[in-house]
Amino acid sequence: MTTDTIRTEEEKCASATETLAAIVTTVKRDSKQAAKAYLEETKVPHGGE
Amino acid sequence: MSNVFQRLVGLETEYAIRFHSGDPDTPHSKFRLYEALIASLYCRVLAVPAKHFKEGVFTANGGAVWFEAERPAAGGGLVEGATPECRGPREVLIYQRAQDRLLAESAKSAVTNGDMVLIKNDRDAHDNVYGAQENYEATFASGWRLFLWRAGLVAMFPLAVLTWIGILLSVVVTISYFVVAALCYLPFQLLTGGRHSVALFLFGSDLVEGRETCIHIPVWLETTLQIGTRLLTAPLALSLYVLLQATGFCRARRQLLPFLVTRPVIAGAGMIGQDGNFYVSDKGPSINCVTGFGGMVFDRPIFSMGHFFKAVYADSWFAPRNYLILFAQRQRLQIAIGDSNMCDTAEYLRVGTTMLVLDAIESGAIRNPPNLARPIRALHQVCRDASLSNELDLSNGSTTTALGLQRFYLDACRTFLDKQVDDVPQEADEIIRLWDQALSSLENMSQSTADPPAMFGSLDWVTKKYLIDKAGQGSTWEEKKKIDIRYHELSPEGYHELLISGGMSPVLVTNKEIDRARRSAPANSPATTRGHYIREFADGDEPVRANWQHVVIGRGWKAKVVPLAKFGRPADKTRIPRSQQSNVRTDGLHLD
Repeated sequence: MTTDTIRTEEEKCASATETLAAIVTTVKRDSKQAAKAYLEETKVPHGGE
Repeated sequence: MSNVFQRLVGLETEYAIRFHSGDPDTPHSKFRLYEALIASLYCRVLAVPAKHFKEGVFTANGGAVWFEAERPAAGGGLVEGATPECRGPREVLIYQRAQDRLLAESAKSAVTNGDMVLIKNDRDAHDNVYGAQENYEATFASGWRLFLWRAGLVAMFPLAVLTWIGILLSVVVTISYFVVAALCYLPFQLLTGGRHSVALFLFGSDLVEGRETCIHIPVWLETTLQIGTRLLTAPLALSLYVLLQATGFCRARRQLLPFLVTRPVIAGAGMIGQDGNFYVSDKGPSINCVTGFGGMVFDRPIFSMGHFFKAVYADSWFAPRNYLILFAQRQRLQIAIGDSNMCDTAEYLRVGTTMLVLDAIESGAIRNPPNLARPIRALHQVCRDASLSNELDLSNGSTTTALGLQRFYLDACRTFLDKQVDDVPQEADEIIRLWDQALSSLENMSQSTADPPAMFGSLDWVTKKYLIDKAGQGSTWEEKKKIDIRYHELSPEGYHELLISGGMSPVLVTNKEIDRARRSAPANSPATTRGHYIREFADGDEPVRANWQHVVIGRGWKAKVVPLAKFGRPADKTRIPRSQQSNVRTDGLHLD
């Protein structure tokens, strides 16, 4: 494996870690907004099969 | 020809409807929203109304969309999508994704005075359960059991006819009630000007307020009719249940059971329970029996026989020839324990491993799997054990883990495939590889410090648990539950959708495949013929209606009825001999 290949893999990893961290932050922020109202809107009275 | 992936398979998925109204004063019934979604769907694909007792449509790819409701007048209602009958797990995955995408797009543009999105999960925040079912074509019985089943059906026919007469009488009584109620209310209205609450009580919100819940009766009458129907059909249901227990899918049910009880470790969607704990499966904790009718007496079974009961008391009432279909040796085995998956890998594994195990069982390759001492208790143990370390009691007095049982079935399927000289589909090897990879990762999970863990983005419960652990730290139960539910939302804001957009969840099917599956039916399946007739005649002058058994073109006695059962045998060209599979892919799932 060349140095360039290793560097590219490291960049990919760093990029994936950053993307995941950004998604976790988005989820954390969004989940705190009107959570109870969201749960009411998604209610399915009596369920299904 | 080998016995691998020859059977028909299809998925049914119930989607919760989330509606955020732009006008909170105008109530929207679930049925109105469903109707708007169907109108939007008609603009996207060719479709025809279903010829069925349930409200629904069939699309040109052979699949169906239904309005599913336990108690519509009381506010219930879901959108149910059913894939066409497919051959093989990868085909099912493609059609499932095509259905998810079509319904999500239809919902998005269905209403103008609010936002409508679908949630593909199995349980709401109030513990109402719904979700997914899998259907596999399987041998119902053979030998004396098949004889007993057929003799039982003949003996039961008079009871079925009596039940149909009873249902007919209940319809007459309901109509009579409305006539009497109207005759009583009319003078009251003339004298006093009427009273809204009285009218609502007597006639229900559909007739008084035009709410359109799909059932034009008051809530109390809906409750009465539901209880009445259950009492009326109880003798038939009980007789059928005893007969099914004694004859139906006996070997498959016995030998599949330990596999299905432990399958949530690879196919569970995960959830936050009412107690705040994390569960591996969304639907699993609500399962309370091995075999049942699915909701008849608050039962939630692993194997649902509800479709046999519906076929006897409802389908055959509308078309008595449907009773004859029940005599066939190959029938639909319905598994109701599965969760609605968002990750392609989990969905692919859920169907693929189950098909392989069924193939091995029917070929006699799995004879004596470890027998669980208490299957339902074991299932609940598996569901609440995210560490996957719990020991499950076996009937021989020993114990094993969920992963140990999965390993048993994986090894048995591998041996079964190795004994097939040729003619094995490539994807059978792919399923084995992915299954092995998933189990190995889960076995090493407790020692691993990887962040995110292996199988993140591939298995739903692992992915959801990570999100809840990371994003839900210090959050309230409601906030964690929102993460749990919004993970399943079919919109760009859905949390799993965010992971897909970020490249964090492997996608196993291409957009091209999904687009094709949206328009065309699978090959070598009854859906091929159904789809053909829908494409040819949907825009014609004659009305066309379809169901799982027939396509009906025209009206009344002159209508042409096309039976679908005689179509759908697999063609040899779909099989590639093992000796020629030198280019089996190891790094992905795309065959083309």
